[in-house]
Amino acid sequence: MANGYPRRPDIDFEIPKAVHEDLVTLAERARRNPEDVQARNLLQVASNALVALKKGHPGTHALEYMPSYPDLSDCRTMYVGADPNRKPSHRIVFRDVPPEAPGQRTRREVVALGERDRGRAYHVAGQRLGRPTGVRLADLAAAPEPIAERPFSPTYSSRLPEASGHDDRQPVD
Amino acid sequence: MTHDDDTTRDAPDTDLPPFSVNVAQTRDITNEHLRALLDAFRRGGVEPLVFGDGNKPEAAVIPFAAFVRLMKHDHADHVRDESAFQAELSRRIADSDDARARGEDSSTLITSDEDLLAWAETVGEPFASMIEDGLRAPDEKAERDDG
Repeated sequence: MANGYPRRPDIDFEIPKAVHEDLVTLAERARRNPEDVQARNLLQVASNALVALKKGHPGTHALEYMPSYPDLSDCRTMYVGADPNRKPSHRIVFRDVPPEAPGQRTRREVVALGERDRGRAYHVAGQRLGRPTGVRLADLAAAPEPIAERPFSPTYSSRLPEASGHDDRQPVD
Repeated sequence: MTHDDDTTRDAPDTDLPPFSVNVAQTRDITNEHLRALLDAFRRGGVEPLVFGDGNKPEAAVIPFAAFVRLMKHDHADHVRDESAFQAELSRRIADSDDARARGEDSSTLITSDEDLLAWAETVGEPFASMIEDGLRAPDEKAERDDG
């Protein structure tokens, strides 16, 4: 599942304040409502996943560029789910930053912990890394000014959806 | 037959009252019916042809302009949802940037198990105990959770 990505037992681990705040909220929910099994389970598997990532677990798979998302091709994702009988509902997005100098350790950044639904975890990760939707990393690096500071503009097709097998549709204004 | 529309269930003040439609049987519809319907649309008529099997309304033929209006309406809903989501993201990023500008470290660097446990304690219980248990557990526990 990790597609040959190496386990990295000797890494530094970085967790952003936003992920901390998300977990504080979830922990409070689990604490206030002991009968909220879903919150507790989600907190449990999130803690398991964070411990595993800290110990060097390679995650579930690498992320690839998709035009409808920010480019997270330097990141990996780990599936997290509160209900073992359903598809994992959450994702942890992280990336390994190589050491800048000999003797330093790889730094593993947890970028986002979020819902899988509508790719929210990936949109949050993109925002935190300052990456607009649909812009490749190479283009972002070549941009003359920080694209992330421009107004965020999701991309949508302004055309009607095309039906398969029909190429004689007329454009609609 | 009376049909309760549920496509606007989440939009207060725009719920359609129950309305009735005449359901044409699919097998009874002929080219002549469609031609007459098109003529009616060209004259400005908007009454749809609703049809289906067994008196169940399953499809409607409507003026194309109405179809485009429907598409635009759905698209506007989608954009509104996405805009709210993106606004929330932008707010959180702005908060994060503000914190960074104030010199508050927006992330925690963890270099040891002890660091991780100390960080987990700032999240609170039951998370801290879960992290402590996880650090003590064999590595395969996390593998099990890996979707």
